[in-house]
Amino acid sequence: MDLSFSKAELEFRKEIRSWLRENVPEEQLESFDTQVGFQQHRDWEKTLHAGNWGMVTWPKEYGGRGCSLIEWLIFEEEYYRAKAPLRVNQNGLFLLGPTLMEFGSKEQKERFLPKMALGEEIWAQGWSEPNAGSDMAAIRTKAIRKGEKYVVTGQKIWSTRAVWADWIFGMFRTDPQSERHHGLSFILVPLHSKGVTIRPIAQLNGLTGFAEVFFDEVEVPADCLLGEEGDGWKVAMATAGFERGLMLRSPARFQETARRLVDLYKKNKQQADNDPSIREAVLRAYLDAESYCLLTYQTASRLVNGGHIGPESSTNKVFWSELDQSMHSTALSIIGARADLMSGITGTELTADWLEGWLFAQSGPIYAGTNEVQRNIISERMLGMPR
Amino acid sequence: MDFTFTEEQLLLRDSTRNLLTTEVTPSRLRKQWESHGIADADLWNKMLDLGIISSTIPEELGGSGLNSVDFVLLAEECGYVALAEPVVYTALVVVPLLCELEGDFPRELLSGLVKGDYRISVACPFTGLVEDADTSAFVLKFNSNKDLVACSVTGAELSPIRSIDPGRRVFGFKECEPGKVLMENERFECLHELLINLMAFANAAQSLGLSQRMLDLAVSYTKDRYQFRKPIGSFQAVKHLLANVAIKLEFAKPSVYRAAHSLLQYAPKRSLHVSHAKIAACEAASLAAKNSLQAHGAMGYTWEYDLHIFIKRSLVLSSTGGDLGFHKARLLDSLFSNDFQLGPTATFS
Repeated sequence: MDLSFSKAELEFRKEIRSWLRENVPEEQLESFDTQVGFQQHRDWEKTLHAGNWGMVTWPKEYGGRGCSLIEWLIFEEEYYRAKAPLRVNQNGLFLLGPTLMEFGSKEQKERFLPKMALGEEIWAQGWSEPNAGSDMAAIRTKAIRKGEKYVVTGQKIWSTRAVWADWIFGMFRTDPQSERHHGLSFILVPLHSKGVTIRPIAQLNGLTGFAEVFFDEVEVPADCLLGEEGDGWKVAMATAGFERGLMLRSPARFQETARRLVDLYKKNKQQADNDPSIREAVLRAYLDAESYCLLTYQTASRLVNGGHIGPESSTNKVFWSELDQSMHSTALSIIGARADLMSGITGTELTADWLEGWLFAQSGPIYAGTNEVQRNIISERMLGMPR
Repeated sequence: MDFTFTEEQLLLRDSTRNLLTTEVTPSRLRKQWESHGIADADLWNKMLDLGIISSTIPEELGGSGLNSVDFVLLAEECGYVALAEPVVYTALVVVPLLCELEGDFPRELLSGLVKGDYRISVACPFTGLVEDADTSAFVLKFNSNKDLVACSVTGAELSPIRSIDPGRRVFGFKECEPGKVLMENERFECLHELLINLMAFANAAQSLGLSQRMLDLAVSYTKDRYQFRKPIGSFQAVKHLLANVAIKLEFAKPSVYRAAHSLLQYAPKRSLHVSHAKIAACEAASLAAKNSLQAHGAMGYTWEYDLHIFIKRSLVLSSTGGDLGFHKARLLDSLFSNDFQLGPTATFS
């Protein structure tokens, strides 16, 4: 056990820190759930890529730097420290990317990964359907093989980033006779294809962060199948593993929120101390963010040493999503009587950020597999309790 | 950066686990309770012979020179079986404290420990109480002058005190003559903090094992217990009780391992890391106690069933070694100070 960074790791930190200092836009970008903001974030991805920082853990030939997972965590720390823009292509970079790396053919990797790293192709996810939410094996959208094509018909919902994205990945039923998790395949579909209709759905903040996607006999080239036909469940579980594991939400994000929370408390101490539970909640936020960081470094070290990610990764998702909720609630408790005010009186600029974060935090226990589903996975696969 | 244990460390943990789960069974613990306060000398001697007692004593004094990172996993295993003998306090509190001191007498005490000539206890810096004072030859404590002294137990006044944990043998202690000074009071602050850190860390590590034990008992019970024609462990309400324990425990572990590393390295933030570990691990054990009992139902509430051994021990480990209020206050003091480093790059800086 050695909890200090090596010389190379420190060099790496220095390099990314100085690049971010030069390149992070001074003015905050619009939300990527607006048309203008989406384009701004796409451009930012191009800037990152130009600096060769698009996805540091990927191999060099796909636009990465071949970095270790520890370096990935360092990158993320510096990224959040520098308040760099959120990653509009996170579905691609953090979820599909690692899945392609594991299951994609050489051609598929060459076709998709560089454009993903460049931000030229932004990805939406297509897991849920109206009748397949937590019960993902109930998927009905069909993709029927006809010669060199799949013909896709059906409907996806809650597809994050689908409003302006270029591609969507998801599971489709390639064997119409099949049931449950059999006969499913993992297929990549261009969203600009004929027969695709996108109906944006406004979220709690009024912006269209997700959408319904309708497929009406959409023709998709057969080489957009990822993994074997009928193996979709297996491929999707790997993607979900990345989602729940250490890729989607790195600790730096929550450590930055915890830092802001401590700062907010110190600036409003007198008001905050009216509620004696706030001090403890602030302490807990700090400790839990710290614990999340420690566990992530522990997991990353294990993986670097040849270990594998297991069902214990489901504990991550529950932990960070509940942490995020409680940190934002605590912030609003500190702000107190003006907590709901977004603009119009002095001091509300700051509140607006917390409110925005508070709304988003409410979605944490729902997306990427609800926390109830995660707790089932923990009890069944990690603890071995009966189904 | 490498936050993993070595193969060697893991192997040592495994062999210790095998030994402890065979030797330290709940029925053995119960027998000791019924002995009306007599310590289990056979068990102590066995662990002395195996070198576990002296494992953290430097090699040049006849020990095996294990450090806090090596021993943390063993302490976890001692917690798993709710070992009542003061093995963990000897290895993680008494020995490191003595190793911190210069002069011949501390070395002499360490040699005596290795040879099995006697045992040494410490007085709790919060309550003054001494665990296992009756089996010890010396008690380490701070006197009213804040010197660290080794008091002889011979002739001292010992008053047995009853804990809710029948395995805890604890005494009020009043020496009959002033102890021999190990370190004068100019290093009081530093040694006092060290002593608290060592006790808190030892308790945190054992609490991880205790949590795991209570979780294991509940998982196994809910697999076999049928109601409504199903194992109750198949019901979501029961599953989620135990999943919550697993989450809490999973996130407590690395904070304890980090504390082990920080103590070893004399890291500037070691006291805060220990407090974090103490809070995280004891809270995990407290949730494990509550939710495991709930999962067991009335069966868990019986004297005959073993769960209460671990529930009671988790209370002891939480309240001693600095209660959670002490550790929270210590953290809050730093957290709100102006120069405290926070944010995404602060954890390992």
